Amino acid sequence: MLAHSAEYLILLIVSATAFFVVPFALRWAVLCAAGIAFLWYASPEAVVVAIAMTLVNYFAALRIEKHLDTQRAYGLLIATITVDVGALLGFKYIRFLPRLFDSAHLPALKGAESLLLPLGISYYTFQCIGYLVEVYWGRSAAERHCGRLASSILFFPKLMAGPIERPHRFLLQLGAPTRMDLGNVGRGAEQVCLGVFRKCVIADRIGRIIDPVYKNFEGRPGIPLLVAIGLYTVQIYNDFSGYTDIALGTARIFGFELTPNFNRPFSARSVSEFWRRWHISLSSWTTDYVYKPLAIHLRNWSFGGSLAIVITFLVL
Amino acid sequence: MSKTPAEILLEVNVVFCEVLATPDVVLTDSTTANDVEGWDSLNHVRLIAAVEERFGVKFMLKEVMRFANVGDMCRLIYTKLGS
Repeated sequence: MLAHSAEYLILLIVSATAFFVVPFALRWAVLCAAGIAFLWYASPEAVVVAIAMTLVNYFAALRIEKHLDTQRAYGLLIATITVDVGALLGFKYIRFLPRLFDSAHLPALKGAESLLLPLGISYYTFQCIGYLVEVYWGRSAAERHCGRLASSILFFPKLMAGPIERPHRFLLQLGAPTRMDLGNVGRGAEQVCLGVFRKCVIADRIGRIIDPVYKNFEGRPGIPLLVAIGLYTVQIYNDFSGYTDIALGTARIFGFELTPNFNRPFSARSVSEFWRRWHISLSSWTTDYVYKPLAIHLRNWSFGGSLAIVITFLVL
Repeated sequence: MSKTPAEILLEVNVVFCEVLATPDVVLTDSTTANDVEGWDSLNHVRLIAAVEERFGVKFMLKEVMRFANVGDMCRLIYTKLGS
């Protein structure tokens, strides 16, 4: 289901209406149902993977909190992150295995090439890891209600292209008994329209212009190639930030404020500033959960800071 | 004689001015990274290392990650110096 399709619009209208109609205590169920419908439309397997990941992280967080500040909590954290990252990498790269190994000798690999990457797995894996680490550090409490946690992880607007939301931030908003706010609905709808415009009118139109150049670049003179490179930058920015606008606008209709992902990145005056303005939810996630822990842990090594930066960029 | 929390805050302020190379830093218990220009993720690590060296204490990773503001850091230094 594309974020700029009629099916998405129907899901948005139906789920937003149900969200404000059902009793406050059942809002999480509406969000879960909408998330499952969104994933099911892509593939039923995506639903199974997402629910399995949610359950693993739900129970792990409860156990970590129970054994806080012990070696057991550390072991549970590392084991669960390994499962999360293993699932992500496994689904991402298993399809390439038949190309590396002869599937005649490894029958288990047959069909791996046609496996689809479960929709949204990158985004909810990062969210789950962030959630676990926050609980492990003792900065946030583990969510007792499995359905509420699932609703924060499976919130459908952010499954397609992010942003990578911090579950605790979302849960805090879910806990506030808000009423339908027509101002929010209007602003949200406006942002969704802006996102669709950026995606369909700007990015896709530019794609039609530059795709022939990229498909057959040999023999073309330099100026069209330079123009195509410049336009590609505009295309990728509008494509990605268009999807983000659709996600943020949709969430706003429900009364949620998601993390903005872009802040005029091309006005940055340095590379580091660019990374603080481009895909903000990913760069802040890697800063908080990869760079900072590594850099602090290795702070007494001569090259600890540099090593932490290199590893962070590898993760990015 | 052990330092008071107020004295610790003043000393931490001096360390911040040295590391961030500016005399304009004025810290309070509620100060966070968002309130101080130049206190980014790179300088955060330098600040932690400099504070540790100044007070002769060692923070655990989890302790550092739990700091919500400067006050939390000063209270932990006070506790560590006291013990």
